[in-house]
Amino acid sequence: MSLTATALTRRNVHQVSAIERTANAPWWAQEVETFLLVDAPKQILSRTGSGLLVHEGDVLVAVAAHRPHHKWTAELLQAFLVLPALRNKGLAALALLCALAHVHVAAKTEHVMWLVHQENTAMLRVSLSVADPATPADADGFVTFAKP
Amino acid sequence: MRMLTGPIASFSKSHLRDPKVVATASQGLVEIRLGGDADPVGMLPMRMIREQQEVHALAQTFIRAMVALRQEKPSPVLLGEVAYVADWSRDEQDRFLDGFAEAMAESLRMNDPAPARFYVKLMSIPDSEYRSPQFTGNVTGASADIIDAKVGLRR
Repeated sequence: MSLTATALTRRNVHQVSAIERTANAPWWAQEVETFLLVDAPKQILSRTGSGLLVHEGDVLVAVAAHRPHHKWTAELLQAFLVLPALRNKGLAALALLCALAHVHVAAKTEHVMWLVHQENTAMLRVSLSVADPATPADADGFVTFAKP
Repeated sequence: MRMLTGPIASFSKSHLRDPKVVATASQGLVEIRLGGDADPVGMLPMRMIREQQEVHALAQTFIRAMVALRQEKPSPVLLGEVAYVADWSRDEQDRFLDGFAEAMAESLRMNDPAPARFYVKLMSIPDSEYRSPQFTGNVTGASADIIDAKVGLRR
């Protein structure tokens, strides 16, 4: 299995329109999907944000958005989504690693941070498989991960 | 990629009963030679025609938007399906046209309406106002100190 990440640009951002929303998704999944299907593409189109697509061959596996963190010298992985049809196939951790490697290079940063809500057990499990949590859940219920 | 740059195969009129002709034409433009001085005709999937028509419609929308947004009070009628930009600031309208031009160029290059169609649809959706920490990176309380130690220098 070989996954490749490419930067989201004005030329390829329309590919996210093919992503279908998860049926009966919990609130945190709906937020992430709306962010990645609407807000992140707008940031790409207005050149105020960055993102990436993860493919296996020609098949789109995952999409992510990132931006420099306003406080720490780190890049914030704002949202990461494996396409609904490709979940539970053992792709998520590899896709996340592929995305993190891309962000490290694209943002020229030492750390990539991301926050996962403690109710998002699927993303917590995937995150724990690629990094140790930097903090326990904070008052808002988010666990922070930071990968050098 | 949906390119209409030229026929992918060429058959003579006598081959029209051959199922291979229709099978090939379902993949792209096929030239049918009529013989003599007659101009050849083409066969292509209806999907390609619909996509071509949509690209043309979007190009018209783009041109109308360019004209309308040069006026002091842009006409929603002239703007058509992008009438939602009529009340935007001049700066936002300029940036809208800039992005639309790039999406339109990509649609024309690929002969695929998807980039421009996505742009027009996306821009019609009001901005969300997410304050969720996962999108802003805000962390609270002791977690901030822990991350300070883990990640290092503050900006």
